[in-house]
Amino acid sequence: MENYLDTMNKIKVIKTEKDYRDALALLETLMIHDPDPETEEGEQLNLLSALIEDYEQREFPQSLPDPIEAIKFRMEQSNLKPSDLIPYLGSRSRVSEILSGKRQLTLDMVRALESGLGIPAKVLIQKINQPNSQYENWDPALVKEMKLRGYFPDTLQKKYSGAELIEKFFSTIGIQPQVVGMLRKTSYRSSPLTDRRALIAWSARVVQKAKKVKISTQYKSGTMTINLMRGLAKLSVKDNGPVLAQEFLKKHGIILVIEPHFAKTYLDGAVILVNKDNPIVGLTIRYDRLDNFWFTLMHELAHIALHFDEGIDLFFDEIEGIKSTTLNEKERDADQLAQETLLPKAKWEISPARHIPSAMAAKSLANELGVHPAIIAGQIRHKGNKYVYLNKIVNDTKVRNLFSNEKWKK
Amino acid sequence: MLNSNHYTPILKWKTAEQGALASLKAEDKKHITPLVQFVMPSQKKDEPFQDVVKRFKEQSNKLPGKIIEVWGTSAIFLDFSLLYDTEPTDTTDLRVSSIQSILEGGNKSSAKFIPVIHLNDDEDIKTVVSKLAKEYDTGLCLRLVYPDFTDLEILNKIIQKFLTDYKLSRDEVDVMVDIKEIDENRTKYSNYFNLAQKLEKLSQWRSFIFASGSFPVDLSKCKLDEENLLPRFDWKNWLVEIKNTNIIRKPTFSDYTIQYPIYNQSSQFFHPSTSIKYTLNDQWLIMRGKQQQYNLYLANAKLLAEDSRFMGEKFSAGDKYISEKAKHYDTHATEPKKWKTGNAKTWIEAGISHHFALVVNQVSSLS
Repeated sequence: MENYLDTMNKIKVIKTEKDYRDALALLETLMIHDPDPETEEGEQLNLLSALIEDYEQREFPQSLPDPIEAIKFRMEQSNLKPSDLIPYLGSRSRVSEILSGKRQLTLDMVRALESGLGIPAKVLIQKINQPNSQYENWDPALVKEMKLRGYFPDTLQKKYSGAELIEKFFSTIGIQPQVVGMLRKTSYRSSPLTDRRALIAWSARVVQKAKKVKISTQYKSGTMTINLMRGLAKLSVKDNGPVLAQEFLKKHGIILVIEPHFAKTYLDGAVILVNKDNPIVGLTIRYDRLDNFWFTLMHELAHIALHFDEGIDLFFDEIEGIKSTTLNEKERDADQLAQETLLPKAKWEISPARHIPSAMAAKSLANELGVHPAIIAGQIRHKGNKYVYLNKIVNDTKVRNLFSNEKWKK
Repeated sequence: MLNSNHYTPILKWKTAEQGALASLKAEDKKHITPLVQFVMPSQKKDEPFQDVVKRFKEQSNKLPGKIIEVWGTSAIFLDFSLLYDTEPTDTTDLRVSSIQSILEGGNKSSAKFIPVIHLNDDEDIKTVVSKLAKEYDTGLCLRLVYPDFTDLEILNKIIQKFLTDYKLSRDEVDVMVDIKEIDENRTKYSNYFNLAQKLEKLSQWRSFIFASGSFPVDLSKCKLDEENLLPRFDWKNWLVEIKNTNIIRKPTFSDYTIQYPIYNQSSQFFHPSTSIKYTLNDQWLIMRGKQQQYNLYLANAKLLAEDSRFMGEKFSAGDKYISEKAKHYDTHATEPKKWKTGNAKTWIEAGISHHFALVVNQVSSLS
């Protein structure tokens, strides 16, 4: 961060929507640095989160979360399998019925879940939504953002309620809102601030865009290798490298979609395996920097290289059932492969850039590896955990302007 | 006679500078007439200054031989004005005795040691310099500094009186106008350059040299871990001025290489940073290191040798040194214990050596 003090000075009570947007942007800035909660910076992050929450409660009054969502959230937090719920809900089939929304919770189940898992009874006693009414509880701020970003045709917006619009949105795409994916965020990967529905909406939009892409090549398992990824990374030296990457991937059966992130997704990219023939990589270009674009792309491709075959079986049915430890391991593996692709460890260890994190060092190493200097600068910043380094080199080249059809936030 | 395709670097008589002079290629050397300033030896801890003076006197009889070893017998300007003792009269005595012994030594070896004199020098110094300049047929160099130009009319009169008093003619004298440090403000350079053109009978002097220096006093403005490019205002300004069609005489270019023009004896006690100073066409590339982190020399050498602005190992002895250090890094990148990093002296020497070659290239290729 350029200057923590500057950022902290910007924290104030949120009164207007502009304040709210600014606060969300500031929150993102603070989150990049993943501060220790015990530090002053961590406290500032907490304060800002509280201010945002306070504003949202005032401006976007929300109903309580869906009981099933609440149970699933607790399962993920506590790393529980469906069978672990048997003591609270009864038999295995009963658990399945509850989690699929086919059966309402009984009073005994509510008591057991409250005392056993700490889920408030006031949440659990709500009527369980049937599948066709699962859109009722969406955050109004999210729905508003979806409207602004053209997720719903203008002709429908005045005619239908938010829930109806969302339902039509998903039915048009032809998928259920539990998109399979492996989501990457630069930090706070499991941030409680992330709006899961925003992630789902974003993923669905990515799928919707991907469906419009005409592609004749089918992805073959095992195609994505470190060598192919390195070949792809060499396109980064071209002015329109990210666009060329899109074409390159298409030739290998992979669809690259650009879709800006939502205010509360804090997302850089995802790989979506709805259609096994054509994996979809979605990127948000949340940070308009070349290093972020290429590293995120490589990270998502690393998922395809490493987890494609196991991923389908493991993630297709219920993404939210992935154990967090498993996810972290996969994320770590993908990070490592992405790093090794862009800056091989053997090269890094003998590079002067290890001793001198200068622009000259970044350019020299980039030249040797045949990639854009911003990529190496990004790696130098990451390895040294010094994000003030090489600001110019990473910020000089922008990416969003190559995708001018998207609605980028000013 | 020196012309505008010649180069006069102003140097201190120190080991790094000596090394750079000694390693000059013959084809570069013929375009250079250096001006060497003798300085007092470094004072050791708790050493009385009298002992420092004594040490200088003891070694001064070896200086002619050393100069010839480094430079040969070609013309070289020798400036004694940075020598000093505790009392003004002692300072004059020290300078006079040094001038006598060194010039005599040079003459015995048929070397062309040209003494440098300043207008404000003591009469004793002027007397001995003009006498020996005639006796040894070397002529002398009159080094004017910018305060001398406060009143041009008076200056011309003082110069004329000096020439008359010591029975010197202009064709025995090289005149150097030295304006010392300059910065991005072109006014100082331009003003003095034009004033120098108004020296009386400018075309009659044996040589006419214009000196300045824009290398900073320290590298505090250069950032760590960043590429720092400092403009060479001395060279850039000179290029502008010599293109002026109204000038009476094009001067010989003179600078302070990669050193600040004002010598500060006390700076010898500071630990220099492990920085590489590499002269480019109109900038200096500063690869700043840190104090006593010698490993940065090697890493920077590797970076420099790979950079498109590196002029190649054949360009000068300094470039060869950089290239060798880069190769050494390649061989031992993961074995820091085997690193031979070089030190402040060897890196200054490499920097000056490269600077010599570059400026010679620049001045000799001018039409």
